[in-house]
Amino acid sequence: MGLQIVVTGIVFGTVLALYNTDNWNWFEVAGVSVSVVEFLIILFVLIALVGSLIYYCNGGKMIERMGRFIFYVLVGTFLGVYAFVSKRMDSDIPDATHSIWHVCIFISAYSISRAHSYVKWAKESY
Amino acid sequence: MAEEYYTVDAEISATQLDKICYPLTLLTLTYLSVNVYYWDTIFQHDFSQLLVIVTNGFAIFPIIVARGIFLKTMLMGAMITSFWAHMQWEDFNVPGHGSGRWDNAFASAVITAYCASWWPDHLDCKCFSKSCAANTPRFVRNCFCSPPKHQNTCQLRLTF
Repeated sequence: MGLQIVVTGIVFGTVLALYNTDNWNWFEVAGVSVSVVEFLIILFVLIALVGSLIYYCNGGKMIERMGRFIFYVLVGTFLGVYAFVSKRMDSDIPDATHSIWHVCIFISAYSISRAHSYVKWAKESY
Repeated sequence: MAEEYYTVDAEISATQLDKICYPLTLLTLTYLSVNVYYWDTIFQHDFSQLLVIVTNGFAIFPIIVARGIFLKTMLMGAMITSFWAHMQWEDFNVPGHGSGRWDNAFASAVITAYCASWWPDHLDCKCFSKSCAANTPRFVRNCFCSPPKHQNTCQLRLTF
């Protein structure tokens, strides 16, 4: 419980401190500049996807309805990836592509929350 | 025969919310991805300016289903600061400054909070020898070598 607040606080503070400064863009990959925050977020997403999903899906004992769980995770992952792709799209109407980011990232969050509701918790900790 | 009365069940379940949320998403993405690009420039400009503000309202769906008051608060912060920032960027007369900084901070924080909510509270590492278990300090064993019971979601419950 504390870890969520601490990690979120660190990222929140980092963005507030570095926004629009010289340290905002950290490095380049194939000509695409990656900011500190983008790097941190992609790292956390990968840890959450690879680490926890493999753990919770292991044998299915902590998932209530595996079919629905997989559906919501897949929808959430697809929309999340599409949201990040839309941020990099070259467009004559940048507001339209940014609207795609809004829709995709919020519905990705919705789908991931729906998937979360199928993970079982130990009775004494709930 | 006596008339029977019943109360109408108006509670909305998460499954019912799916039926509103996903068709609306499909419709909006179709408009944004296909239709907008085939319209005349003036329609494209005005409609996209409107949509970039209005689509922040999609945050209401994850706010309803997100687990834990902390995540819900961060999502509300992201929605409000994004409304604020986009209204300023579209030249509305809105008070305040530095909206982009707060918008970026809340957006990044929401994604991080979601990721953290999926990490288990323990890592369940196993020692392969008795000497390893004996030499591992109790604190390390408690943190890393016991089965997880829940995830790192801050429910902020007021009852204990």
